[in-house]
Amino acid sequence: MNALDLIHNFYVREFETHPRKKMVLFFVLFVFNLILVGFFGIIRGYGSIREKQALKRQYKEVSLNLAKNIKKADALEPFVTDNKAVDYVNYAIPSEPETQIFLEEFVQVASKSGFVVDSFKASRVTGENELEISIKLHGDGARIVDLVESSERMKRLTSVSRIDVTSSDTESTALSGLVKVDLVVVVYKVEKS
Amino acid sequence: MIFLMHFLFLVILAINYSQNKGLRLLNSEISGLKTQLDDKLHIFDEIKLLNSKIVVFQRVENSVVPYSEYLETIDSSVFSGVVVSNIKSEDKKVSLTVKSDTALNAAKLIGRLLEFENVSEVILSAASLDKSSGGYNVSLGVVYK
Repeated sequence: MNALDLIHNFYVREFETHPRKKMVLFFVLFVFNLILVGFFGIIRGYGSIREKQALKRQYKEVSLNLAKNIKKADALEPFVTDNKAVDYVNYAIPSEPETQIFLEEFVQVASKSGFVVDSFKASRVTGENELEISIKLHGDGARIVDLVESSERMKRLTSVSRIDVTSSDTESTALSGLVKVDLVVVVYKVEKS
Repeated sequence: MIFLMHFLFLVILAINYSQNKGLRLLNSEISGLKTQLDDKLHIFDEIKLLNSKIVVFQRVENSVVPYSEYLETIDSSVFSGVVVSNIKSEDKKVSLTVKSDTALNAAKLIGRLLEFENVSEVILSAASLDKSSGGYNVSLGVVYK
């Protein structure tokens, strides 16, 4: 006799002959089915579908935003690559101090204005994006305006902060002959955040 | 009723399955797009950096003190009777040490400086007579607008 036969015999003995007991059994099974399939199956399942639909809408929105940003990046790419205006700005305001590049350019600018750089000192950081540079020069006082003007017009963004011009000897003045110049300039940088 | 409930349950199971599949597809689409965007993030960083640089550029352009213009006014004002031996700047003020043959020439220099539109005032800081040479030593402060 197997287990099924045992269950069948038990059912016949306990329920088949007692209609009231049988009805109770069917009612209990019905309620159990109602709870299992109805509550845990249909109601929870429907709730889950609604949650997933909301998630799907969110996903679609995210996907749309990502696609939009990719499109935006594609449109912006030509502006940051191979763009002379961008190169100009990046040279004028580099991301690093790049004082050696500034010095190279300044020496050329000073030389064209008839001045020789005697000493150069990147003295201090004056602000978040500023670096103060002290330069001592000597040259022709008659071209001092030219020197300052050329310094202000350098490709690297430079602003003259202080200038001190002194005649070197008794024959020269601050605006003619040999002069000594103490120039303090500010250069700029913007670091990558 | 029981049959209907089971049928409904099966339908819900089927819908759930299709929703899961849809979500998986969307998820993989999003990860693909995210990878694509990650490769392009440097563009946004560069644009942001460029924007900060332009802001600094504009700020400097608007606030810079044009010393070449200041020196130009001094250079144009000087004439044969006066000698500028020292020029020192401090913000919008340029201090000059001037040697003048006569007191009139020193006054004339002040007058010439004041004629420039960008000169706000000229301060006579000190004046002395060098009795050995007969010249005047004058310290001036030229304040610009």
